[in-house]
Amino acid sequence: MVFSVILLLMLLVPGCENPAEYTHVPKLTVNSELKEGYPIDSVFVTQSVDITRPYNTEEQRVQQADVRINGVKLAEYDTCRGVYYYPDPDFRVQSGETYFLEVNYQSQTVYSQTTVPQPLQFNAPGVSDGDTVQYIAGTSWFSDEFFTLVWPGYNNSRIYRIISRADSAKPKYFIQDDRPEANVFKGEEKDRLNPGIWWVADTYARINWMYFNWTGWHDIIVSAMDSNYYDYRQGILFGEQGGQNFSPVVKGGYGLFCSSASDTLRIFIVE
Amino acid sequence: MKIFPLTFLVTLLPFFFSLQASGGTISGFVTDSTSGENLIGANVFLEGQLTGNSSNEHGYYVLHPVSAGNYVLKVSYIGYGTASITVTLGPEEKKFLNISLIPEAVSGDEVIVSAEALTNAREISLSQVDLSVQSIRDAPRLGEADLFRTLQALPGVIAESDFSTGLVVRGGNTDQNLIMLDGITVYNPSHMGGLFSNFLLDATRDAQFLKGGFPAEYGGRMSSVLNVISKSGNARKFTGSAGVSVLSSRLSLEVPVGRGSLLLAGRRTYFDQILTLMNKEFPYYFYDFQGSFYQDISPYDRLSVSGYFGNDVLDWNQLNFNLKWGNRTVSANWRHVFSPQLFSNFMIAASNFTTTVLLGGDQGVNSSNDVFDYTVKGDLSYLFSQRNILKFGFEYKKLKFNYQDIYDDRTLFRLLQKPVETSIYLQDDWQIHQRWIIKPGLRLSYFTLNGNKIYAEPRLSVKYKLRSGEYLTYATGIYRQFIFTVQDEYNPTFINSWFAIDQTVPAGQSLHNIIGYERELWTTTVLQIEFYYKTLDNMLTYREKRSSVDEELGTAVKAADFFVPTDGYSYGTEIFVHKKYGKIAGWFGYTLNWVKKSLDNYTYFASFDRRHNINLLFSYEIGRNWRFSLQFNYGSGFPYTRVEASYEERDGGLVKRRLIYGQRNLFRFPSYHRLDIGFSKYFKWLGMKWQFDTQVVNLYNRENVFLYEWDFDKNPAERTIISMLPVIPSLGISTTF
Repeated sequence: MVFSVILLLMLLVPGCENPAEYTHVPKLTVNSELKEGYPIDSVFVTQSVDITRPYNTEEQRVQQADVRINGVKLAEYDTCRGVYYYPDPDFRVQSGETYFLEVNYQSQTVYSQTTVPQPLQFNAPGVSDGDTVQYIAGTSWFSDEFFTLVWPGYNNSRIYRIISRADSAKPKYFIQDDRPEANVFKGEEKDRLNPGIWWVADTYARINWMYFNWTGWHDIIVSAMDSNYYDYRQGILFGEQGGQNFSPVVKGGYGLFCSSASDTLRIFIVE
Repeated sequence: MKIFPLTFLVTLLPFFFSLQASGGTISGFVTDSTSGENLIGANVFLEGQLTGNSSNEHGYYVLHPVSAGNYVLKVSYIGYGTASITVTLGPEEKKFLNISLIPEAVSGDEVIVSAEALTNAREISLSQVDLSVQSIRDAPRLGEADLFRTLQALPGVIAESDFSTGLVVRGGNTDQNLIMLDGITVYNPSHMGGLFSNFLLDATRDAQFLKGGFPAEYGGRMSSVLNVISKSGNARKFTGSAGVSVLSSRLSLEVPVGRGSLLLAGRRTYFDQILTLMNKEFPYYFYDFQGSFYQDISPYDRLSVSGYFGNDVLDWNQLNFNLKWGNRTVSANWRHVFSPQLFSNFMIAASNFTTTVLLGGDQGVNSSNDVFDYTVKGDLSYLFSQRNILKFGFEYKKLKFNYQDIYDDRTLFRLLQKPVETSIYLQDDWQIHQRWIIKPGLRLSYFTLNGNKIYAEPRLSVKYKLRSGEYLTYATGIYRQFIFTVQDEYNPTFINSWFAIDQTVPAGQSLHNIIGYERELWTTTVLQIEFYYKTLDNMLTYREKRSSVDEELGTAVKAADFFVPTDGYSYGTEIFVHKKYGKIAGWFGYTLNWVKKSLDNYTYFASFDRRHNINLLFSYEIGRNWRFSLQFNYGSGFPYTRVEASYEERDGGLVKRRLIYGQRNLFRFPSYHRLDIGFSKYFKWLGMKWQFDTQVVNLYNRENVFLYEWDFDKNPAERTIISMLPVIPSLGISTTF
């Protein structure tokens, strides 16, 4: 009797079936970073895509969209469809200015706005543009620095992005390191990317082995990021989503529309 | 609050009615004759009388009122021969009579009937399971027999995964269970990320588990109570046990000392050494030590001291990484019989749980969470008669929670709380009629960090006897909780970090309603069917608000800065068929359950909402020297948040694919099922008893889904399964001497 009841309950009571399969409706995705002192030369407009469908960069690009910044319509590159630029070649992004983005395509509209941070200038004690820096393999994130970049008194941003970009990321320049500590902190060799990106919240960055995977010329770029960038990443540490979506800063769609003010140090890395 | 005066009045009524009860008294302690261990729940009755009593958790019994005359006192307990003692009692005489029972193999149903009938008839045991150490050892296991893993095989209890010993009891979070070792709160009783619990079975006598509707003597948690009772130690002779398995070694010793005993037990794992031999490195191990010492300084007084400490250590020098967490408890107990009818136990205890993460030396990360708990408590019971027992007591807890993150000598985050939690309680266990037992109670709690509020927690349970061996029961109550662990909906933690509420967030509150039906199917088998509905309010959920790894959040952090109150509810049905003794022993459990939560005005299925759950656990004696054991679990799939789409993100020259998640927990993993079996061989060698165990976990290597991952190196992205435990054989050998 008891087992009959149990069998009946298991047959009659649902709750473990999945809903009918859902098809994602693509939404506009906009990626653009307005850089203080630079023109607006790349606003990428694409579409999101269902996870079960193949992703093709060219196919996802949205051509002939109406892309405007502060009401000015952007032009589209002939040779790179889906990428838009500000038509005035003398235009430069200004610190403290607010830029409003609006994209219309077919029946979809997305928008966002950003206020550009104040100009940033860092100090690099003991190292200058063009210097040669010796690479020394470390053991963790906290290994001794090669040098430190400091930007004292700057409090116009809640998050700073550090980019380490190698001019040439070819295999012959790759720094071989498959020690367990390298695999743990940098990832496996095949997964090491150029450029490398890290974030800090304080006004200094200790540059050590973690920032370099190739020898040769590197640009070390420190960027004060705007509130859109901070909000976008809020709550998602290390980029691990874990079931959580990035905060929407492009209203009505997806992507990252932000602004920055940067300073750069150029060095040559040797092993 | 209207229920407060009514409950209190009902509680006081029997006091006034029973003041006139007079007569003699027979009382004393029931013990094991070979070890001196107190026997809990032994049935004590006068032959030919309608009522009797069972010994309490200290082995103490009282019969009152007893008229003058000649009697035969009967004492029975499963696994022991029934004692029959002729007693002559004068008018108003108070006789103190300790009884030692001789261990005996369970021989027949009659023994079981007389031993358990009184307990079942007299006590309300709704949602309660008492587990013996033997039943835990008989279950198949992964390397080590484990209390929590056996509890997870009960109806109403779910494991979040194969890797967790956390108890999800009727939909409650794992931090909503009051877990005690001899009355001391243990804050994170698990090892190896939750694969094993802290409790050493060699030092454990019993485990009492209340899944809901628990009485007023317990408080501070919203879902359940687990009280692990240690052995006192053998006061008659030197004994011990030792065991070795693929995962660990253990040793326990019991030594008679004066008018008491000393017990020491320990365990240490060594898979770090095994992996080193295999040229693999994972320098992780854990160890536990437990000890107790007691002395009977008079027939009415026992002083005891007990302690536990254990640590998990992951010390990876190569990565400059050190992770350590562990519990330490120490307590002193005074058990005193003020008068035959007034029994007491007083305790002073300290418990500490510490987690430390060190990465990268002085300039790196130093993260720690410390919990300190200093408790003074007293529990007293006054027996007006067998039909009426009043329990009352107090608890004073001085707590300290210190949670901090230090990076590069800067304090990024600091939460320091020093609350005091004080409670008093009163509960009455009153058989108002042959068929009716009621148990009203009231607990009053006060928590210093949450304003000057006194929280009333009324409790009530009722038992009605339909006929012999058949009962209906009902329990309800309000349960408060003032301390929680970090519950993160997106990034589950494997080490608990505890914190207390403050004035910025409300106390947690749960309302239980449980209806039960109990029937003895056969003399050794019980059927229990329960329906329950439980609300869970103000569960604090953690919201990570940093955008990078080293943002300073300050040292004056308030709970509301990071935690969001969430509500939930749970309801369902449990069917439990439990055969406790015999050649075949074990249980079958079925649970039908719904669990929902609300966060940000959105209601969704909780991550451990399992619609159907079936557990079968049994052991079978094959002849005299072999035992076969089996455990099977089937469960509907847990909910998960499905990835629906992806989009392109461009940042600093890097192009990445980012996932778009759909509605939270709308989809279900495939169903879970796993079969574990074990064989045990018993033999004698060198004058000692030995047991050789061989087990296989996940016999048919079912790939139960733990989570899904997406591989974007493939186009379209490919979903891969991260599965739970594969098939794992294990061996072990143990001895007692």
